[in-house]
Amino acid sequence: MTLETFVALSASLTGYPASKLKPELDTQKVAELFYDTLIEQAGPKPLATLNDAFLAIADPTDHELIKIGIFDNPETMTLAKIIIRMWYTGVWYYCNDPQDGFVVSSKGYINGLVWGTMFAHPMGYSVSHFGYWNEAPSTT
Amino acid sequence: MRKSNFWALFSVTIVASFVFLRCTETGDSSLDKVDDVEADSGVKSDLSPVLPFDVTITGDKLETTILHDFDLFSWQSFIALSWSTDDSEMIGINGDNSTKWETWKNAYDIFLENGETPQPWGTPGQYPSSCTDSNGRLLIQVGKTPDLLTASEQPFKTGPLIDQNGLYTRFEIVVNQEMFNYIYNNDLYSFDGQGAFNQNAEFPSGDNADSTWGAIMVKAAWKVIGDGDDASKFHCVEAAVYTPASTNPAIPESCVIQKVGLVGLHIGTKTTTSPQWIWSTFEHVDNAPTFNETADKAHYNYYKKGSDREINASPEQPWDPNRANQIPTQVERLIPIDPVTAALNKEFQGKLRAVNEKSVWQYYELVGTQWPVDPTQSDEGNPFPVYLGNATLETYIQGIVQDGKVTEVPGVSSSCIHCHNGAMMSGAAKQADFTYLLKRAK
Repeated sequence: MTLETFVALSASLTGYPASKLKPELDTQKVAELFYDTLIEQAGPKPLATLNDAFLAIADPTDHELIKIGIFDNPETMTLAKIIIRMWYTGVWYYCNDPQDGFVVSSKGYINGLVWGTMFAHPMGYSVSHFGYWNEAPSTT
Repeated sequence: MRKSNFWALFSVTIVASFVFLRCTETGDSSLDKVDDVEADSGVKSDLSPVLPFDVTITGDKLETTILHDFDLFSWQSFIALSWSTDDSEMIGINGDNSTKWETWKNAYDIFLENGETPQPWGTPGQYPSSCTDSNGRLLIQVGKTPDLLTASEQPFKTGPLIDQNGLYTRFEIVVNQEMFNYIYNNDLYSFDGQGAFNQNAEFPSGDNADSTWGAIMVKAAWKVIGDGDDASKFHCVEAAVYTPASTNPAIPESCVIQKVGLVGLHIGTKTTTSPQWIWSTFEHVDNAPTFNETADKAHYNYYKKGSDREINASPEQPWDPNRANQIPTQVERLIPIDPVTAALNKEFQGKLRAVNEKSVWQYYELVGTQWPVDPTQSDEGNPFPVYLGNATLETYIQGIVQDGKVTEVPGVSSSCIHCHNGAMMSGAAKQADFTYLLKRAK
């Protein structure tokens, strides 16, 4: 699987556009981080199977086709879910077991999509100004 | 009085009308010579005394292109600020020269005891009683933060920076007239004034369309020129170096005229494109080697070959510049200079050398430029690069070394914008617009 395919696949799985996951001027390079983790952790056969299944989908923006092509297929479903969890939480969960995994890195953790999705920030790290907690949270 | 001290004081006295002395005098400063140099080297359009208002984005948003644009802004700023106070004198044509930024207002002249009103722009500064004879430049800070020796807590892991001769590095912060005027006109120099202001600070922004300069602050790090240092490779000044009193050993405060050389320079510029400011940082080329690269220079300002001292380790406390036999800090650069930046460094160093092969300015390099990529995305604006540090100003927060590799820690390792995003006033619970200077108000 190439980095480009990984980003396209990730966009289909997470609901975030590829331009958000890997911006033109990429300050954090999270896509590369998660891609390297995927290559390192996923076995070659599951990775190749997922790659082929995704590339076979005619329209990767069609949720129904993604469901049929990836989530209804037991050979690709597990790895796809692991990738979703990694993007949202910065954690790589082995074998789809939520009790067994590791934080990819501090960069991966603070850039997890979950924080922005729920208009929050990771514990111990915020990009907001001092005293923001005294103001109504942003929802945009 | 020791003979050397006497002559140093005598020298300062006879040139009392000048702010500082030149370190090297290697040529004729006549306008003819300037014209000759411009004609011979073709540097007239590239090296300019005119400070850029804002960055100019020339092309697409490719990382290398935009990085080059911001680095170019940094170099243009550095050249303009380091230019002689006489615009007709080409930078470095006499080897060294007085600089524009050194005529700016020093922080200790703005935030006075009891919140007193500072002197207007252009008025000479005030000095500690032991420095009344200094008659010129004063270096009063022994750390990047002004209260390094006395504060029980610091905003980040810090400590004094001790050179190879066992002497403390000195620091200062100055601001331009636009920044000073905003502080002055809004009474932000005092605790009470900030309380009455009671709103977030918003310094003026530099703007290309309006041809206006915004707020600019400069932080400088200086080392005392001593054994092993080649003064002809530094921008030097004769300055009154202030050392506070210590109790053990009991030594009174002192102020000694010394020749100091510039080793680090931050330039923070607020602009329309970058409301989180553009952060440019420069260093002397001989400060320290880069981690995991060959230390191939005969002499470094803050690194000794073959030493087994831990790198980037803050000196053991108590910190006291009066103490004898200080252990030099062993510094390595943990965040390497980007190849795009390194190429631009070579280009500008060549241009400076073309003006005068003995120009001290060729011995400085841009370490990097940080700016907000998406200013409206968050309060921090998605800074790039994520981490940026100067070996003399962020020595101890560049990152950590684990298993032979450098790891940066979010929220801990050096990031200009991330750190300054937390800056608040002292007299009101209001944001200080990315400067900790307003925290000094009393």
